[in-house]
Amino acid sequence: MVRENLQNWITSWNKRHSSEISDFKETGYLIRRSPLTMVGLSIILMLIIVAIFAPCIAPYDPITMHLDNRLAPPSKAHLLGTDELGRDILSRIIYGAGIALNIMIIVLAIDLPLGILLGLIAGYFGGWIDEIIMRLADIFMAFPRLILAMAIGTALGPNLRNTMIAIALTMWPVYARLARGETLSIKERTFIEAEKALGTSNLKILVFNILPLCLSTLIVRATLDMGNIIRIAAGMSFLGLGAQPPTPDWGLMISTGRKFLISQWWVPTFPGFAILLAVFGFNLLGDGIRDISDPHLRRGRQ
Amino acid sequence: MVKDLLLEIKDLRINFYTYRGVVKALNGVNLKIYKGEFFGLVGETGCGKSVTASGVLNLVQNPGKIERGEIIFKGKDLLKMSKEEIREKIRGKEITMIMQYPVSALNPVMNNGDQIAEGLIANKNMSEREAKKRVIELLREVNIPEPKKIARQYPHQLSGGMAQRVMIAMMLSTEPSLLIADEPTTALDVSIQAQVLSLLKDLISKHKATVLLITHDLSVVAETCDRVGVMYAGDMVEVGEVDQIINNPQHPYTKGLINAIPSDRRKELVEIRGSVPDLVNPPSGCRFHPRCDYVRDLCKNEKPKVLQVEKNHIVACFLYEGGYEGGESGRTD
Amino acid sequence: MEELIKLREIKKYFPWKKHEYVKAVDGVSLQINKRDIFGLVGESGSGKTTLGRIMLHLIDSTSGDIFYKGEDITRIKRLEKSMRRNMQIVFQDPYSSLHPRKKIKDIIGSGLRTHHLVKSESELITKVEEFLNLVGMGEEHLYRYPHELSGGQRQRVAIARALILNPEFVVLDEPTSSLDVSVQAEILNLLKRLREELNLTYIFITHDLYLARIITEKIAIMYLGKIAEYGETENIFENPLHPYTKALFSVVPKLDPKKRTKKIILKGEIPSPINPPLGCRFHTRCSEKIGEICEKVLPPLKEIKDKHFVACHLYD
Repeated sequence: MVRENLQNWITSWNKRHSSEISDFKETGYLIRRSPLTMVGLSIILMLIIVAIFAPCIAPYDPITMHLDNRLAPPSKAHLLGTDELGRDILSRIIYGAGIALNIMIIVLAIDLPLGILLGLIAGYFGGWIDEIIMRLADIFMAFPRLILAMAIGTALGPNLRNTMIAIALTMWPVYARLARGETLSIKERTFIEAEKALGTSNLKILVFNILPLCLSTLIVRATLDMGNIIRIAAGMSFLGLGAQPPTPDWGLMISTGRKFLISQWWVPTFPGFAILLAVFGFNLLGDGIRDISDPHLRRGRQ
Repeated sequence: MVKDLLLEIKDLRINFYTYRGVVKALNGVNLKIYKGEFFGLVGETGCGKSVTASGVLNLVQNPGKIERGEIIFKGKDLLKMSKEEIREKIRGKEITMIMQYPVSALNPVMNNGDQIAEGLIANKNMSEREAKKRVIELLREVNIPEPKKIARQYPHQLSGGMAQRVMIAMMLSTEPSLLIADEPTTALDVSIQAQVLSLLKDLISKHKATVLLITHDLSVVAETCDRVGVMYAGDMVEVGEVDQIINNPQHPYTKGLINAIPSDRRKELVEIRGSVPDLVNPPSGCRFHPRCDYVRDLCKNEKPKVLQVEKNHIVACFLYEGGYEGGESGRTD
Repeated sequence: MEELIKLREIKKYFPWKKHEYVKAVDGVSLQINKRDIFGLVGESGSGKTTLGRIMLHLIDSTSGDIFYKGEDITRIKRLEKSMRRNMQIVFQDPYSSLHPRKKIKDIIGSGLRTHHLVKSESELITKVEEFLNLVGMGEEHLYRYPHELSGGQRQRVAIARALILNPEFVVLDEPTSSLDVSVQAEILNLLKRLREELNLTYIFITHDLYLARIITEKIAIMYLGKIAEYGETENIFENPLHPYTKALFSVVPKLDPKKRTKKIILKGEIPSPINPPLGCRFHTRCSEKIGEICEKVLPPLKEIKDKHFVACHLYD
């Protein structure tokens, strides 16, 4: 009896969502058709798995020092060698994945909602609200990103949390502008006029009608920015403004390992590769998602 | 009067390979256009009329592919010509095309006069001076007031009607043998449409060109064309002189179309039941059979043969087996 | 006949660059009664679309008065929700008037939620299904997206969306211009049937003269923001008085060669509504121009015969 109900519910759910399901399948098809996107996706998935299962995967603890085994070259015991305090580099890189992803998620978690909110309001209502928000955005955008991040980071104090805030503050204008641009064009479309004719309130129009349409552009942009975020965060850590020792942050690892570049090259190089791989993966994924989202490729339905 | 055959399309089949499947856009289209005539190709969305036009110019784009057929223009098969030959000799020279949205077909960063001159200099080896002079002459011919001023302006400054006239001037500058007009007046107001159509007719008789007019508006065809071809879902279902098609339509679709148009003739619109088929899985046999009031079993299994109704009037429908109205079933409409 | 909407000297000027205005509607007065099928006919720049929006209070007029059932609603900034329900619109382009990411049930049901006409999702579904059936579509479309529907189907959805609120009048803004001819016939017949069943008043905006003749009972011919001629449809078609109307009728392509009279091909372009000609708006293209009076004085809309109004100095 219960099983029958469940089956009925499943069939009805399938029927009600058949459109989304076929959309989903088409996305899958398009992703599979693009080898570069698949590569990007694989790299990122690997990164995520490594980050989540770090405690299980990492052969050693990333923090404990082993001063008797400093600067050991790559070997069977330490696949990527050890750093200047005897810590296993491979393990530190593995744990570093989680830190990198964490930074990225938090920055986007601040920027996307903030940018969308300000952009929607500016675009929809126009007038002086638009002016204020846009001038504010202009002020932030007037500075080169890294420099601004550095300035804010220094002002707030050098630690990882402040780095994230600093980076977030340099990037929100981009999302706000994007959201505003989308809103400006969407609000002129006929279906918005139709909602007004039906009596829908402005709030509902913004949240239920305009917002869902902005999301795809913003997500694409966010994906393309992910690589940037990691890069800037690494840069900040490298300059001493971000993560502090003994955190296994990749940028910090390069910074502290820099002086060993000639003789014990593995100390700064492997973290460098890690950053390279992560940024590369995100860029490929971002490009792929952008191409797939392009309506020209999808809407062959007309 | 012996009519010279200018363009003959034989059994043209074009498919589009899309994610959803293969769209069988043209299902073996046959068409003859004679020198000096104004031929109208009529049909609704998806019937393949625009695809036919792109086929003639060999401009069928990916994912479309010309599967088979011949397009014989002045005795030579265009589909067998090399790309260079078509580009250099045919497109924009012997066969030109004007489209629905002229402002977007014109180069936005060149002024109107220069655009027309460009073609003259390249194709007719005119000097810049000669070309500029000819441009003004052409603009005057298409009834553009203040041609010198318009020549210096840019496309975005033109209204729809003016832009279309500039396009016509451009397309006539190379003295083409065939001018294809793809929905040239659909986006224009009625009063402007009348101007542009009457202009086309005048110019055609003056330049002795031939026009293939593609449109969904049967009334426009009724007023301007000599002969008409009616297309449905990738097939040419009826071809004849304008009077024959309007006053003696034979194909059930043609009849349906005439009854559905708001015109000076009727007080009511009669619907054609059903809807335009999906060309990924088109109906078997006669593609119109699911919507036809006179459908028989034969129609579902076999593609109808082309039969002659009267002189210059042919139809692709089993109802007229025997070549006269009614055929086996004895129906008279 | 109960008066539903009355417009008095409505003007709508859109600001355009510095100190210039697009005079979309430039002094229009008319009255729509309950159960009318009223046609607004004109070419581009005539102002018919803007006028339709003004009647619904979707756009504010620059000057003039609007009365709804006798009540002056000109100054009301945002219409009361209950009044909003009574006036609905079906737009021209079925490809952009439906939200691409919403399901059909939500598109049609949007108004039901806003006006609290249903208390639960299942109530919504029932009501939406009812109206889907009313416009000739089945419940299989409830969970689909607009891109899965054909143009004709989308337009039916738009009609259902407008009618589900039980409005008193519906503005139909070129509802079939974007559709194929055979589909147009279906939609028009549907609209006619619905008007009978639901006792609706239609304001039918179109540029297609023969379409207007088939569906409307009263008609106003507009040119550059003003009404040129106005009256009962059959009268206007049998006996057009305004030179613009006559020219329009003569150049509309006709199927029947016998009906083709000599064409009055209007010279020139439609003037820009930013700087419309002084005096009679049509004088720059008019073949029956009398003289200076046409260039200087705006002709008033006068009743010439029984309920047949013309704005032309020829009939002063």
